[in-house]
Amino acid sequence: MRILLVEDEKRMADFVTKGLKEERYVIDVAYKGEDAIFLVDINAYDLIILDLMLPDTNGLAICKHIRNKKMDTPILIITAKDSVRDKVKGLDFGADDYLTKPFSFDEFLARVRALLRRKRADKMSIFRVADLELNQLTHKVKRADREIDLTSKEYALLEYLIMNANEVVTRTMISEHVWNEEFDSLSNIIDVFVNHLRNKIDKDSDKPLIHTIHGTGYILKE
Amino acid sequence: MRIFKFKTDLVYIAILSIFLFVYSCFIYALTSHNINEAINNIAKGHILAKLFIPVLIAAALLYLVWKAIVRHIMKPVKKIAKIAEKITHEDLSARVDIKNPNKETKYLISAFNDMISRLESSFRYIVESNSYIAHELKTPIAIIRGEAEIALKKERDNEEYKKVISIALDESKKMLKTIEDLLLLTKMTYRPEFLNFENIDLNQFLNDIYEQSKILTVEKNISVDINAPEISERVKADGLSLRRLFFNIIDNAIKFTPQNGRIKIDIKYQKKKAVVSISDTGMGIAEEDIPKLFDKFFRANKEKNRYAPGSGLGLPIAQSIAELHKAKIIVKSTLGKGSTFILELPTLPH
Repeated sequence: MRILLVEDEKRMADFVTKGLKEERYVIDVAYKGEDAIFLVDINAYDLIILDLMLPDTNGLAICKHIRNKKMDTPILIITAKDSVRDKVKGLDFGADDYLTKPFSFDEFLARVRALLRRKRADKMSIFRVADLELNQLTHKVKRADREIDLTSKEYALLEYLIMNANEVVTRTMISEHVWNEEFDSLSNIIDVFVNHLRNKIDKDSDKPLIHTIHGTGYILKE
Repeated sequence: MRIFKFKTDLVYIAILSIFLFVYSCFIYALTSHNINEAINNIAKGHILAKLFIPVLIAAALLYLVWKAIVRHIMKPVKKIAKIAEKITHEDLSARVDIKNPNKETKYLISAFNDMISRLESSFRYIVESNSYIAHELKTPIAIIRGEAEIALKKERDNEEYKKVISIALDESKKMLKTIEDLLLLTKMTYRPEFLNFENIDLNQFLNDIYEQSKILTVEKNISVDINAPEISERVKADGLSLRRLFFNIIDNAIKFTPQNGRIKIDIKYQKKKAVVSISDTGMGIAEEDIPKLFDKFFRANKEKNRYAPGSGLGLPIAQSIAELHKAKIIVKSTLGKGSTFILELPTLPH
């Protein structure tokens, strides 16, 4: 799950990034409105976390920009402004949720999870395909009731595949949602990681779940 | 507001009738040929019987005319009252607007509207500064809380804990500085009598400041020079505050001047005033930002100075100190070349 964090206060951005990374999300940070708009225009984010007071522009302007482009990416506003008027304004400009600083990080994470699963029909935090199970809350992955140890990146990759189970995901889609700005798209890093994942998930099972669609990408299905 | 109240109306008409009757009696007595007979007539009640109904009618008519006049005069007042009822702390945008008012009403209306305008701008100021204060204080709390919560999520190595503690320490210092500066600003606005004015030799005073600023600039290798006339003059000032004023300006200069830059303190004495300029070779201030410099929490070039320390209150404090010393601060700046802060301070006669 790839998230854009727009926050001008360096230290604020630092700890939010650190906390989200530990939850195995992929994060890009924009310290200015201008950078945020640039990143939003070229990348497909699953969630945008937006501070309202930015040095060059107001966060609401970014909200408006995103909605004018008919992007339905969920937006979570985090700000020190806590008046009802500000909250109403933020939500009316197209934000999906509003959290005031200082916030509890657990609540923040819960809201992030809620916004990320908004598009899905089932609102559960546990995904199952055949005997494979992924729990978003505990980050535990099990195959036939046996716990599998995954690295952060492998987990993020599997999470993306399982959220789009039974659908073909292209390498571009994977690079956009599982890697951040620093990703080098020319490398075969995706294939390498998919192989790692296969080794851990499908190796001991006679029914493989991750399938290669030649020339296109991958699919996770029974 | 009701114009007619029946009981009060009757009382007024009765009082008016008595006045009219007494008045008529006087006129009657004074104009009659035989005063004794006239007084006798009045005493016997003949006059009262004759005049009772006409006086009553006259009094009622007079009262009605008077009411109508009052009503006419009260019309704009009623309108003003209506508008006043609409005004709350949430919405101070209403203004009285009456077409072709007479002179007196016009005066009342403009005084009333001006009062609301003043209230509106001070309320806006309060709301805005509240939201700034909230922002300035909530951000460090958010950082401390967030860092601590994440640190406690799992076991970490000592280096990580140390980093979190030093961030918490840093941010709490920042909060304390913001609170102290805000309190100082309030104190200067509402209790300026805490200042302790004395006669100060300005050359000597600025020389001390110059010596101390040399220590502050070592880290960035910025050179500091002072240029003062041979003969010094004296000013009446609160030494502590005046020091603070100069150091706030110098701190600011250091903050925005790159490595190996230059800061110059220049003193000139003119008729009845001292002109002290502090110039730097820093990044300069955009023309449109200069008037905003003395606003609370304003930070020019914010994105470039994400790491610049300070409460954002240094220059507003300098400005308040200047005002309490009947001095003024003038700012001249060229982007990319540097800024000059000029303080004009009245001097004492020789």
